[in-house]
Amino acid sequence: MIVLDKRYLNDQQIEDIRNKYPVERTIDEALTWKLQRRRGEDYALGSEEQLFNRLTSFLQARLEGSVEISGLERIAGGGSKEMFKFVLHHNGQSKGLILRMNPGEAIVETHRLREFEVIAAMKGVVPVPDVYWVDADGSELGGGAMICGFVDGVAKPSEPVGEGGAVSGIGSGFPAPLRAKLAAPFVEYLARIHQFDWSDAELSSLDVPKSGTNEAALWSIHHWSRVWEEDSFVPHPVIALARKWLLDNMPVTQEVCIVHNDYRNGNFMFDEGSGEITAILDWELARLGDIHEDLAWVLFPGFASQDESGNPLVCGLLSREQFIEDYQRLSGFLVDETRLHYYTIMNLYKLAVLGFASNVRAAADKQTHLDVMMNLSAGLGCASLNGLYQALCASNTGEG
Amino acid sequence: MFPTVNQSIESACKAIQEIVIPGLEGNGFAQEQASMVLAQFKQIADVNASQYTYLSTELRDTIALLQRWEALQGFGDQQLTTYQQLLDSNDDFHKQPLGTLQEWVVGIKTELEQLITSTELVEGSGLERLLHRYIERQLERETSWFRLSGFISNAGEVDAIDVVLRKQSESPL
Repeated sequence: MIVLDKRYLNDQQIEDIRNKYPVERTIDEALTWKLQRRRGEDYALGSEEQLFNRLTSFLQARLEGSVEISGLERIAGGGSKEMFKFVLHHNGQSKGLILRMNPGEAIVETHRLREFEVIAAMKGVVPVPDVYWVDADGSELGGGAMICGFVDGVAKPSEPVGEGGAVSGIGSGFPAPLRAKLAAPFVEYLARIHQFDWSDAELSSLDVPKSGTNEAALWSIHHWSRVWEEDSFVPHPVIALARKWLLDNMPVTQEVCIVHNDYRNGNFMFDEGSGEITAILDWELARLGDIHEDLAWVLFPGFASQDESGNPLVCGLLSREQFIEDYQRLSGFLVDETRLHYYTIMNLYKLAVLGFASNVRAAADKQTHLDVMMNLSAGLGCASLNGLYQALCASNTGEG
Repeated sequence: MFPTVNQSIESACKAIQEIVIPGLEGNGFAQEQASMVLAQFKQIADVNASQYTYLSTELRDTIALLQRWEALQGFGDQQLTTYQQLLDSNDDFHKQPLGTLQEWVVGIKTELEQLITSTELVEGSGLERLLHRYIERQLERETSWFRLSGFISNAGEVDAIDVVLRKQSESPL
């Protein structure tokens, strides 16, 4: 038995994987960059001086007049990308900005241009950070990166309810008065994202699956199966069973919509006083696809927390029934339970791939700034594999 | 041999908790990393002594599954070289170094994956039931291994890995 050394895949081996799993152009580009970069040195945190110089040059090339930066500082938090804040001084004006940059590898490998374009398209549709510049291939800043505006607010309450929320706000709960304010806009903004007419938007980095076909589902299976093949250390029987089930049960997507793909508690900023959502964040996995992919994500029990009586709350905010009722009313889309179940399995498959393969690989090959967190979050993969197995069993017994 | 591995880990945890983390006040990123190092040490201490037995159990379970699979349905055209090599070893694999066990686990599980992918499992069949029992035992081991990762719900009620492995050894697949 010949086992591939996945740290040093040669060009032919990379080509074979690309051909085996056709994915969107920019997803292919990001994943191929990852494999090529992996063959190089271990990832090391760059010096602040080097980043300062690169960032200054990057901005000088894009702005006329005097350009200076100050206060460049790494920010804690964030599950995958390196985050820095700094102040841009340009022609007598000062503005606080965020630099979001790829490390060598991350729990999820994504393309900064996709994120940049989708956020720009969403401006005026839902609250999003302002986006200014992107260095998609990292040729100027040292890693794929984008620069966006600073957003006021917090991602989780200062006094969270329950035990969740420690990692990336996953499962964080909200005090009752706060969730009474946040629940309505949380549902409304998801409905607006799905209702958005993307046909005239500048989204050239996204490929468009054909509506009325199962292409959206197939592309997603290819995407995550490719990631599993590139990153996993050891095959897992649940992954093998899930891949078969997903291929055998692909649903048709009636209407192709923008899908955020990580819409949950922890991925929006809000003002604790007013309860206003100030920005929807983390658009890096956004794609054109089926609304049920988002709905199944929002309804994922791992993101839920409980109310004071112990009832589960979707993303810590409202009951499942209320969420579906409000979403249908606001979006005009009907929720299809069969598709919802399909994308529940797809999302668990995705989480299992990321949690059991990509993060462990990134740490083993010393390719991130968060190696310890990457190892610990194999527990997320384990929890997802358990959930995936239960969901597959429920499908077989007709309980799905 | 003293200090034991776990004693050394506990000492490191104490230093991180009481000295390093408070000393990093004002550097959120470093403080966050130190907290994760602490959590990681605690997880290592929980499982450290069981790594070898874990891999042996993986091999024993997979060999047992494939033996039954072969008897029930055969392997078709597929050549299972790692499985055959392990069968030929007459259960001597537990004398091999850790790295060799790891390679065998990857090899035999790759063969199992290919079988699962290429076989149409009949719902409710003996083979399907056996595969599900095999999976449930694997998930039980994994859940125990990661019980202190922060991602396992009701972690306090999950048995320690040495308990799970002992239980599985007393009740083979």
